[in-house]
Amino acid sequence: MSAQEKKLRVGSPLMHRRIAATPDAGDAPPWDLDTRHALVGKRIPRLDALAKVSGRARFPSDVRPGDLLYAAVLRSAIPAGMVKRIELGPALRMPGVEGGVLAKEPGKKIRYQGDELCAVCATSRAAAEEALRKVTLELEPSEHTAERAGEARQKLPEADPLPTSLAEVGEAEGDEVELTHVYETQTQMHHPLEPHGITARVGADSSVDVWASTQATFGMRAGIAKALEIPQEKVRVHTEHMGGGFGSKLSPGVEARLCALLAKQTGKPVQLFVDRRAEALAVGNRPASLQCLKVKASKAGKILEWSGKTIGLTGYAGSGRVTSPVSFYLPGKRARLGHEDLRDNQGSARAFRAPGHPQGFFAAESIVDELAYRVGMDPLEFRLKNLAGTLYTEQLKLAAKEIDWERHSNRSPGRVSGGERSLRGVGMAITTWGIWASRGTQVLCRIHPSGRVEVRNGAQDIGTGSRTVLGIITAETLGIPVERVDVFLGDTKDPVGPGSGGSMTAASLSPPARHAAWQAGKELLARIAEQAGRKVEDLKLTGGEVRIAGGRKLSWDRACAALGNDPVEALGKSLGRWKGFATRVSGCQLADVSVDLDTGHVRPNRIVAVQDCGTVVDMLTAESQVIGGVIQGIGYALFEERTTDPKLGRVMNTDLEQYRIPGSMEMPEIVPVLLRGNNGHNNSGVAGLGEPPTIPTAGAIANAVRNATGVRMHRLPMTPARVLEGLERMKIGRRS
Amino acid sequence: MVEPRATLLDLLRNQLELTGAKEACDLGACGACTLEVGGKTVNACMVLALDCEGAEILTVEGLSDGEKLHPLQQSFVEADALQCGYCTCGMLMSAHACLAANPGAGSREIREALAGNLCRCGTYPRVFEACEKAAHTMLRDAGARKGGKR
Repeated sequence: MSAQEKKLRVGSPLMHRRIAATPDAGDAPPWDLDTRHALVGKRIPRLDALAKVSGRARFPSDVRPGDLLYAAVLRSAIPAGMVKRIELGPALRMPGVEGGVLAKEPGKKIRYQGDELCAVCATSRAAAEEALRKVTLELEPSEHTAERAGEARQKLPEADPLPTSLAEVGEAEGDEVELTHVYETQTQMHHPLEPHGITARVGADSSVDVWASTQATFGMRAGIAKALEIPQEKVRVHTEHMGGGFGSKLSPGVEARLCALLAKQTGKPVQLFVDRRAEALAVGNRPASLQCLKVKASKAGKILEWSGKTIGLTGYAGSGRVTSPVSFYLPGKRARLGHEDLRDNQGSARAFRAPGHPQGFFAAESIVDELAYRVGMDPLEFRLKNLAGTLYTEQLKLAAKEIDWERHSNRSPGRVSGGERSLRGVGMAITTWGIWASRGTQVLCRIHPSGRVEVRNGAQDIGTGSRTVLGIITAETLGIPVERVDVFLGDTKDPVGPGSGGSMTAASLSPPARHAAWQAGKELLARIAEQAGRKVEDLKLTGGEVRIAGGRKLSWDRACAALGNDPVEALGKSLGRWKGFATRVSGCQLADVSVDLDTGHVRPNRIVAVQDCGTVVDMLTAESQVIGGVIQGIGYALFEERTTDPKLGRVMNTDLEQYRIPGSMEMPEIVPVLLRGNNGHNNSGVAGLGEPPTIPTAGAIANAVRNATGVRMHRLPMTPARVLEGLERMKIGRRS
Repeated sequence: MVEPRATLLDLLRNQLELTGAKEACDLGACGACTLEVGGKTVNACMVLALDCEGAEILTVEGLSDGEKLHPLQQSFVEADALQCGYCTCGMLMSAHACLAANPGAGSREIREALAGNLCRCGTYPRVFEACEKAAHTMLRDAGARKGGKR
């Protein structure tokens, strides 16, 4: 069969073009912007919602196999040093204790407060925790480097002096304006509500079952196999549901390894979920950054030069690199950017929803915004001018209309005419994210004689709605209601799937799911044609029915019943990879905030988030993703910050009272605006969505504070104390 | 046998295998283990099991009427008021207690009732929407029942 070229209209409703694509033989016909869908893009409740609202959904921490033992981990209380002596003997003799393993032998280094020393398991967690107190332990402390922000500041060029009046931040004189600003971002913790951990059971034949709270079932399988020195095929990972990860559960951690070793040692199932304190200390974070940016613009409003030096404070390992939107603002020109990571004796950096981006976009969007005011231009107009020719201009205009920029943008930041106690402003920022998918992903589709369709992949649904995406793509392809589809995810006995990182899951699962359903549908037709003595070309699957040339119709149920005892099945692969519309998604957010001049509180009133993500498979869950991204962005902008005692090197806020994540009382109105697009890379045109909506929120809020008050915030989170410091310095409000 | 140091949450999750209530912070700070004891919400991680002897305890598993979902559960499904789902059962119980005590609760009261329930995926706006919708349904159904009796 020769491949046939197809013309596709791809992109988004705001900007699109025609491409030529040549589908692989046997692949489903590609969708494009002109495709009329029955289900794709509608508002469909997630397929596992019933299990989750009824309490029936079993998370990995809910699994209770018989004879279950509970494990607990002993962690270092000091940030740096060496293990001199560690003996489990006395702990193992405690009542209820059945096993114990060392995480560090004597002589090993302590890298941070919370570093794992050993683990024991017992018949209850209380018994395990009690036993840990009996471990014979001697640690030799050494000098720590837990707090290096001060040292990092010394490495950066000197910034412009901070302004002390509104007069200094108005339109500048001269043909060009150059600003040198330093921005600082904090260490943010992931804090998924389900802690990190697994439940493990080693069978008599040395095969292992693991129920893991993971973002990557296949990565977990490899990690457990390595820890137990057995082949991967001996390990089966189950992750039917899991309670959030945000990047911190992409690789199997020490806790998983220790749990597997305890299960092997005791021959009984063992559960090890770390406590909230360990969540704060030991399972990763978004690393802090210091960023010095020097940007020059012409008075006509064109950005001319951009250079910067950035520093990441990574903890004992990981990357603190920051990513900025400079390439969009300076197309075709080279920005001079340098980066350095500083290691210290704290918990390590890990991937956190759009690694490097929220920090980089906060700094870059802040200085771009400030330049607009200094060249005497409206911040929207300044961006439209510098982003001309990109999708951003259309998205910004759309968002500006939605938030009513003309009416709500404050034209005189910081001006207090009467006795106002608060000022209101609107700020904006852009976002981007690459479109990635795993090539190896395969999806199994089985049509049963009962009329039900079974879809299987071994990857996990981390709450983003992957299960529902698979169900909708399958149902749409076969022309049946989504209620007819049973989706099974999170079992590594099923075909291989992606880790849920890089916003890859939906983009990786959709093309093979559509390919599998298409192939299975064709096979169903072939079987019916054979029975009816017709040619397969005479049969069509449409609207949930099989239509036979000449007018005869078969309902879906009758067609499937004709399969007798043999379901049809097909394995879908990741085909396609055409050039498509773009290699990145784009979006922007506009935030309307109020700043209390007496208390320094920043209260977001309304945030409009415009986002493209290729094909929107389910509008309901896609919007939820955007809303969730914005809310994590609000936490990053206003509340969340790990604080460490610089003398002791110990983290001071290891619980959810002292480390504040956004709650119900801090919610603004959030308006997600999803663009129904199609990226044109393959049969389904889906791009990722998890990460981009959390990137611009902090920048948009900071720029709204600037629009309201004239105060440029250089440091996250924008706590009341920091905002008040700025208001007082600029002599704004009644306190000044 | 219940150990004196076992919390209500330990008892439910580990002995009775009612795992709808979740353990997320073990400190009464996140609300993932919220349930009702004698009609009042508690963080089950902060209550000793033995202190609840003889009390009527309602967990999320008891919200639905057989296979028929409670209006709150139904509206959570329809409004997509959940993502990973780990905080969801706690949210439902706080909302349930709020609407039981104050069937006319509005947006402000609902937000206050949920102030002790943290969600890291960021489902709050959807949760508010679901609660308001359920409150409406429950008022309407109660009105219909009353009307029917007359």
